[in-house]
Amino acid sequence: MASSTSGSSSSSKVVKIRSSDNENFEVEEAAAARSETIKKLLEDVGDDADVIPLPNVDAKTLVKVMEWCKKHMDDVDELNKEEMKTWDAEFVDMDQSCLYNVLLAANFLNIKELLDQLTQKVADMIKGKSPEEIRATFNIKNDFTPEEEAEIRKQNAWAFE
Amino acid sequence: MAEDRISQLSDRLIHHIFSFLPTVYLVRMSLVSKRWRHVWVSAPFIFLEDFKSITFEKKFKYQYEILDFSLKLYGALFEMLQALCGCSHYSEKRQKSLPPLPNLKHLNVDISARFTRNSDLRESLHWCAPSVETLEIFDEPKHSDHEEDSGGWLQSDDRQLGQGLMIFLACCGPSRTYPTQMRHKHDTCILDLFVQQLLGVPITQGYRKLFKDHRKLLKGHRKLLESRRKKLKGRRNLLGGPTKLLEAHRKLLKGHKKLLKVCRKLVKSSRKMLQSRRKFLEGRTKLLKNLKKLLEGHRKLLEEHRKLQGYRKLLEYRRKLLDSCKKLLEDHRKLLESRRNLLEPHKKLLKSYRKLLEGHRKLVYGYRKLYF
Repeated sequence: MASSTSGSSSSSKVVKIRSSDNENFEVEEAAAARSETIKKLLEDVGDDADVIPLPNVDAKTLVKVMEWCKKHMDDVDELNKEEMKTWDAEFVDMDQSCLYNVLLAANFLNIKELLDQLTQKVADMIKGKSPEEIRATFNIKNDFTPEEEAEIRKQNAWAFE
Repeated sequence: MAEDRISQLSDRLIHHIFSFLPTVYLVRMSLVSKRWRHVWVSAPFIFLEDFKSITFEKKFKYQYEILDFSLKLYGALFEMLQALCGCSHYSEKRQKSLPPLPNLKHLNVDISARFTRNSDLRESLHWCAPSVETLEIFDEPKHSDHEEDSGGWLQSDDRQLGQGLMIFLACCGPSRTYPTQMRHKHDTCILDLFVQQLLGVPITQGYRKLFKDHRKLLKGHRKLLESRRKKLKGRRNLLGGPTKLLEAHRKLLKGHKKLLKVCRKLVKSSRKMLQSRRKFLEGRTKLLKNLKKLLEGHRKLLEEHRKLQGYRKLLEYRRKLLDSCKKLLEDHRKLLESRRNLLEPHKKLLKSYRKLLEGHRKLVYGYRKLYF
């Protein structure tokens, strides 16, 4: 049995993870443990962990997520909070397809804080826009008939003024 | 960029996004496409904070269209909720339709002014949001800002009515925590009284006891959990041996399976071998039969040969006969030659006789002439 020999991991505690397109990454355990999913996996598997496969996350997205995890590895003290906030704001400012990829990855990996930041970002994109503007922003196709649309508008007129 | 990926997100994620949005935007989203028409209704929270920002005229106008203000205040509040969900007449449709907020779990009610008595809330709550598990009711501090903001629509006449509308349902989405300053203990007695009226339970004491009990329970639970974890670890360690055994067994099984496969192949090949041997044997028996026939033929041939040997003797005899015949023939030839040799003197004799005869004839002839 090959796995029994790999029990003694090195002192730096590195976790190996594999993306959906079969690229391997080595991440510090403290960073990887930001993901509840990976944390639980590590707890379940223990020290015998070989490479952890993440079949839902591609390499590009995983790099992004791990970048965030490394930054948020340690607890932030009051002094760094502002700095962290600006960093987070810059981090979240990415193109839409990338944003959804990272969002889905954060959901799958169960990184609550990151998920909150990303959903907040999407919410900010919705905020202050009319339905037409929302459609244009997110490329959503309007599949209502004009009558249906008028009906909905009538029902909730207070929201559309 | 042309892809619409936000519509492909799961409802859970959409609710997460919605948790950061005032309800107005959720309602606006319902006009975007069919996918978004009803998503917000199933959201497990509602966030009406932004009602503050709508100016009074608008608010009053639309609410007056939608809500029945003759209902008492909290009834109106839930009427409003229901209106948001698309049913305009609460009292008529309530018997038939589904609850407007079926999934609402946590409801925070924020009261910015004194409550007014109303017992409809309990009833409304039971129907509007049947799955509410926690109900937090708290008072908003009266900042001067708020007074200015809401002053536009909180006229003195409306105060009694408007107080009810100042009650906000605060969002309790997955991540949102309500600002702590909102939870100040202003007028706690009145709140307690209110809740008591609302739910028919003397709340503070009961809650305190409940909280204490809960804390004790929680401690107990934690201890239990820890001991369980320890037990589990022990079990895992215990399980280690059997799992290794199992693995070894599995390997054995795999090996056996491979062996079986090989055996099956062997059996198949040996069957083929057997078949070919049978064919071989059949061929041999045929060959043997043919050989027997051949042997019989040979025997016959031999007999004939034997017969032929008799012929040979015969032939030899004949040859001997022929030899003796030849000898006889030579003797005959010799005889013939000797006869030929004998014949010549005879021929000479005959010639001489003929001459004699002719001489005689001439004599005879001469005698006849003499006589005649």
